[in-house]
Amino acid sequence: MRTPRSLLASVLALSAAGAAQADDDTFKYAMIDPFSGPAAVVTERIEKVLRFAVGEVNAAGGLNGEKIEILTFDNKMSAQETAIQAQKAIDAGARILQTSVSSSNTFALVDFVRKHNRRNPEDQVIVFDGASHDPAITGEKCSYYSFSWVLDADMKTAGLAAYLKDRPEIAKVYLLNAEGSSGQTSRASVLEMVGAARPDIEWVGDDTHPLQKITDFTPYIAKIRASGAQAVITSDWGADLALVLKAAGEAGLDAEWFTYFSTGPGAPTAMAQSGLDGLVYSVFDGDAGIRNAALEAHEQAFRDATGGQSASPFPGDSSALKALKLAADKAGSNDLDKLIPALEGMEFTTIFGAPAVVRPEDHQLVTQMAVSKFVPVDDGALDEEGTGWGWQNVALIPAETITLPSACEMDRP
Amino acid sequence: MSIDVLAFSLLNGTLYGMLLFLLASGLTLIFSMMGVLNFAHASFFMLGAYLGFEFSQGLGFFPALILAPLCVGLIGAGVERFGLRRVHRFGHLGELLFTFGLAFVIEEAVQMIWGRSPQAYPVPAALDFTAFEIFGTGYPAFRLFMLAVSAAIFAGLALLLNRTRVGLIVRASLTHPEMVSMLGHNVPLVFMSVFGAGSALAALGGVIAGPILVTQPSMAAGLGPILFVIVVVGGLGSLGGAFAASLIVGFIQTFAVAIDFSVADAFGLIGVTAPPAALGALLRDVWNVSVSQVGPVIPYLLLVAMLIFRPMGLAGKRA
Repeated sequence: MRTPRSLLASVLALSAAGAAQADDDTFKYAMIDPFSGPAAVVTERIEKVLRFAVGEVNAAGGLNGEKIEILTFDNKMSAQETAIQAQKAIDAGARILQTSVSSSNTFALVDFVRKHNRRNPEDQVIVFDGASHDPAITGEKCSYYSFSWVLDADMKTAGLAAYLKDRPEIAKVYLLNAEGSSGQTSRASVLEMVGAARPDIEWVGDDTHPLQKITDFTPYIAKIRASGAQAVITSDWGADLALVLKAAGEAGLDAEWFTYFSTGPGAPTAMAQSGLDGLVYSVFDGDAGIRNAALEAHEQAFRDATGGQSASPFPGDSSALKALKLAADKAGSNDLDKLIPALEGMEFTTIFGAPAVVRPEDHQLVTQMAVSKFVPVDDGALDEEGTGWGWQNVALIPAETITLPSACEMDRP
Repeated sequence: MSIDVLAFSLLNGTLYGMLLFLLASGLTLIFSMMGVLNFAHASFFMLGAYLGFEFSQGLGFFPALILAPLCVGLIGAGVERFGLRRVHRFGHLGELLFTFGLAFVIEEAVQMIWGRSPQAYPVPAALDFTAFEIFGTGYPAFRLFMLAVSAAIFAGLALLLNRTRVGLIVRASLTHPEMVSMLGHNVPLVFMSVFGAGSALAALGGVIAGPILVTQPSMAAGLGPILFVIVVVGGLGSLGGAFAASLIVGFIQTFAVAIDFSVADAFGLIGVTAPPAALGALLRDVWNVSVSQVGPVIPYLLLVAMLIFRPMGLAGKRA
């Protein structure tokens, strides 16, 4: 028994080592995200968007002739594991470490890389935050070595506040958020920003529920109905969002829903089933419902390549690769000490056809925001997850409206 | 609480409780008969939802309502016959670990077959209408159908266990397995049948819950813990206890949400409006937490209290 087992072990070790040091003349880009567990459905889609964007850059010659190679690392949705996997990624030669799914993992990665770069000035790496959207990542925790490629939660709330100014008939609003930092930060910023933009709004309810533990949301729907709310603002995501919207549809609740995460994988399926026609709004960086020829072409190409899924829920990866390619061209080198200054202030056009800039003082992406509603679409139009339903844009909020002052005090080398 | 919220909470609480009962009835029988806390029970529920989804796409919802539980029942019986029975000789810990592992295997298998994204499992067209209206709000027919199915299963199980010869043997095996075996009954067969039937009931719960909950790989993990609460609170081996506990948990979770009463309000009644500064930051945090926020935790508090004060549960015969 001993020999075959140790043989097997060494074969495994060898193949692992082989996978880790695949190719020496590529630019290695590590993706550190939960590839197992309930959040893996999100990672799956992010990986597709990232591979598609990298494929485009490589087809156009790569970064100064170097092809980008993606390495994947499973952080099992844990901050500790994120740091362990980050070290593995660096050992495998990665120069950019990207994480997207949870802001606590992003914080862990930013901290890890800050220390690593201080201790290894010859072997520095940078962090890309692909989708985690916590304002603190480019706020009090900001770092010279990290970049955020999506609008943060406060910018989206500012956009929602601006949109609600044009909807004066909405006067009674209900807040529904999960416990935990993401839900509670959103709740506080909605109360502050929407409250300031629309002081006449009456908050008819303010509920906090456990995160991803509830199977039956009908009691909340009964409560929302009894409160007379015309609209519900929720930062719920994943199963919580799907279940609450299905319960609302089933009960025939006619309140409007303003959501931050309804473009993500799985939500459109539940929303189409709920039958809430035109009642669910997405407050996000953008979606497939924006009328733009380049976006439609991009979406169509992505859908053809991946079997009908939408690229829009994760615009951060597309933006990151566009900016990276431009910065590498501008710097004429792939050295990080030339790439980072080139990335700062980089201007480019997002997949939504909107101008975007990497703000130099905090490395936060600044671009427009979209408010769209979910409706049945015509045959042949871009639908979501094969449901026959899709997004219809109702407002584009310009970048100036949602730009907030930077809270970053950056340590520059 | 206004009268319409009360009415809807009653309806929804009953329905959720009945759904929980469909799952808990099988679990409590298995637990009390074999001493196995079946961690994979909620996975059979999920399997039921997925098979129900698959069959209803090809054959329609009503055949799926029969076929999916049958398939899962067979799988459950197979698991008992070829898995649990072998592990049995290593004691209860081995059985526990076996079902624990099985839950992961089923979840991974479901992800490999159907993928990680939720499935579009719609309410069947025949039941997709409003059954009745109260206080200007429609109540969906499919929910009434769920209620009817659960009630029928409860009545059927109660009759089977209390009025038939099969029920007599099952009940005897619960309390005196050695004696039943010595009387010449095939106790392993009884175990296998009970495990299979329990799994089939969980699957039936899955088929009818799939369209209103979301059919996705994490649906088992979400429901598992609450089932253990019901089994323990209801009492080992007691179908009536499981029924009562299911309804209690259903009502607690439904009604708690509607109650916005907090510590601050309680003290407000006696004229105290701010937390005493001497009690520090911890109390200030607790001060404004309302019943609706802690609602989902109350069943677990009930579990702890029950284990301390009445370990045999509401209607259990053994501690």
